[in-house]
Amino acid sequence: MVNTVGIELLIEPLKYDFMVRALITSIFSGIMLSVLGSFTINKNMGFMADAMAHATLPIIAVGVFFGFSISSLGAPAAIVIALLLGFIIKNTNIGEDTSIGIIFSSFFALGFVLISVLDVSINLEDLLFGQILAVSTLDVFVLFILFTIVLSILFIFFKQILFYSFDPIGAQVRDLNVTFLNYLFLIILALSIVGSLQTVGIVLVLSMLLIPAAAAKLVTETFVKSIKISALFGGVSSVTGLYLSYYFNLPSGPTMSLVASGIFVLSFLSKKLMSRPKLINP
Amino acid sequence: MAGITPLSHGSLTIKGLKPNDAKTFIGYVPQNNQINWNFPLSVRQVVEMGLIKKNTFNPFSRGTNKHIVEDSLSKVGLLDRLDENINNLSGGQIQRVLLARTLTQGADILLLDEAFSAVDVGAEEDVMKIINDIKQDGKTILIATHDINNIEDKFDEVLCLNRHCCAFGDPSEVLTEDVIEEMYGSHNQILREHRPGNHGEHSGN
Repeated sequence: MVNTVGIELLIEPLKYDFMVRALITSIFSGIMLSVLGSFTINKNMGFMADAMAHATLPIIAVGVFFGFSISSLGAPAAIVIALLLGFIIKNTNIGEDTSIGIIFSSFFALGFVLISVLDVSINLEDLLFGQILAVSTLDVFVLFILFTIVLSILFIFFKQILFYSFDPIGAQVRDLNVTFLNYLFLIILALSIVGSLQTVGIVLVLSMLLIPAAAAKLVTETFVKSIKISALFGGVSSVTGLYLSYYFNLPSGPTMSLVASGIFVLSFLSKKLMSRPKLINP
Repeated sequence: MAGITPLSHGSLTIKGLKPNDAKTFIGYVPQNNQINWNFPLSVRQVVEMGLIKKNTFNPFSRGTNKHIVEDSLSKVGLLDRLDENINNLSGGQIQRVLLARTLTQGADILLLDEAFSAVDVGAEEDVMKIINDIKQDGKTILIATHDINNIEDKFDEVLCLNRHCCAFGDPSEVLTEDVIEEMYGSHNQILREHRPGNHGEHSGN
């Protein structure tokens, strides 16, 4: 009886096409972001990822002005941002955080100005916090392509990217093309972020990137296992958030982020409980 | 030698090749602080990095690789720590894991950057024993160090550098007071009485 009710609760929203599209989108975004997130948190690139998300605004503004849809702008925007950020960080000596901060705020400001000057019809709230219920079939298709490209590249270059991330000088001595690997990672990170903007938005994309990965790191011992658990946490956060937003009439992007935060809190508490020193019997 | 920094002048060849073309011969053990310890990697994963090349596109480990990794780890006495998180190891054990990585690579020339900077005296002896074993296998080992204590016991030859070559040769012969002063400049007072076999009154010996 309980099982039947549970299945009905899961199936009921799927009678709407927009919910089916939203569910597929949430799974792709949740898994893609959280897998990349495992690298991002260990490479201390959270701020960089945040800058990537915010730097999309002017590109989206100009693209929409010329009649492109937001999802079709994803890949070119991501590549431009990744190359630009990588180049500026490498070629300035003002510090990585400072460079990122300058690009982050300048691009975000430029985006708002362009939206105003070009009089572009963009719903800013949707862009900042996501509007997964509005994704079209084309958006789902584009996200599927991005999902496949990002995870395939990560799969093929997994060992090289891991070596470079762990020991950059050792990788260089071993004759790996570290400049290529650096830009390759920046590009797939930017692709996953830009591809997920419609799911969780510019502001909250960071939560889906970092929180499942951080929670997974707390409850696992090895990196490969942390990636798998992070993907699971990311997928569960997205889908659970979507269902909660449907049944309780909540904004979907923020609800997904809050579910991810809940998983992090549970992971943190379970880690604390498991690592408590055991009392030795006298 | 590692092909990272371009030569400012002069020339350098390794087995008749330019450093960039001789990278396959070079095994590198980096300084501890050059590694990103955030990654919770297993000892096995770190040692297996010795097998990664620019055409490595398979994310999975082959069966033959496992034997090479295990063989290298047994040579440094850490086979029982194969699946341990590298962050759980001591400084000396980490140096041994990184040495095992160069063995996995099959490098003929090992470059060790400040190999003893993060290890205690006991662990330093363990690492030196392994280095001597590797030397017996016919490998060339170059170690960059700022620590000249007992240097004559550890190394066959020293190259003393301070922006230029101050001396080169058997450490018991070339480490004269003049050379130490040339290397350490105004700080040489601390090392004034340092000689091979005599570490001065400040050392507590």
